[in-house]
Amino acid sequence: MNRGIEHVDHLIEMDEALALHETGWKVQRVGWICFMLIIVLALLGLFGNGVLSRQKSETGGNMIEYERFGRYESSTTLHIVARTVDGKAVVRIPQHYLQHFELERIIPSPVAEGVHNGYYVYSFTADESMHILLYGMLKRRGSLEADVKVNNTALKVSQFIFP
Amino acid sequence: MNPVVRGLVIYIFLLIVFRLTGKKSLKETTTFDFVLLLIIGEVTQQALLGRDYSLTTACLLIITLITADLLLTFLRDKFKIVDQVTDGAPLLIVDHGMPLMKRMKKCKVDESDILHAARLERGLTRMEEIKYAVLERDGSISIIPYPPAEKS
Repeated sequence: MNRGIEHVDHLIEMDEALALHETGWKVQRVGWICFMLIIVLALLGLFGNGVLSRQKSETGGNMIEYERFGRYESSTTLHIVARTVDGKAVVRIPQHYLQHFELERIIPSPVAEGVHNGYYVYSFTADESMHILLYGMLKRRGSLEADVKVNNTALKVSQFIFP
Repeated sequence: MNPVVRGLVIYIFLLIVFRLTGKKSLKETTTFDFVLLLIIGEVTQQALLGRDYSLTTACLLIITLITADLLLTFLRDKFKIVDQVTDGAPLLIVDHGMPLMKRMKKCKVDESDILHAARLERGLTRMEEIKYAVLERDGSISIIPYPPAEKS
């Protein structure tokens, strides 16, 4: 079966560039497949907010949940589950991380905060294990890594931020 | 990101995306297509400016986009292949009253589009009256009827 297009001898003075047309149609098909692939991957969370993006790091009853993939200047949330020790939970976030993660809000509000050894230190009080939410905006493109310490347990945060 | 880089990335991205969507007959452009274009314009504006609404950025972006367009025009004039790749080439879709179906299918043009152009441009009513029809680079359809002497 001839799958090519019709080749016609005509008298019109024009350059049809048939080879280019045929290449163009092939490239177009590849392009459409790429578009669909990108949409599917985006729905799955390759660019954030999806199953591919959700990441969890857990050690010794402390846990941090975050988006593995983010977009520049988009909002994101760090969800920390901290075990309380003597009714207290302490979260330490490296200063270099907060330079690129513009912290907007912490729920619940910490009872104390300060800076110690290159970490921002946030202290909370609670009777049992508690959920802490840090809302912020990603202010850096490329990879962003940090060890967030929850009650001295280091939990790795590794993100990739698309431009 | 630097506004100039931002502008260039968006320019090249739009050029590729619109080229990949294919040559669509202008006659097929619907109201919804225009609405879609407006939405794309709005999204592009946000990506171009971000949160920076300064006059400097606006001026920089305008200069960047216009310069990129001038550069592309220069390259089109200089190299025929750039012209054909970015703007496409005309394509014959009717030969002596016979629609070239494979070509039409590839270009998403059907017989009604050709007859529409024939009626509008030349007052022709039947496919047999068309000697040649050409899908032009801009998506319009040119109709070339038989000369009066040849018709009989």
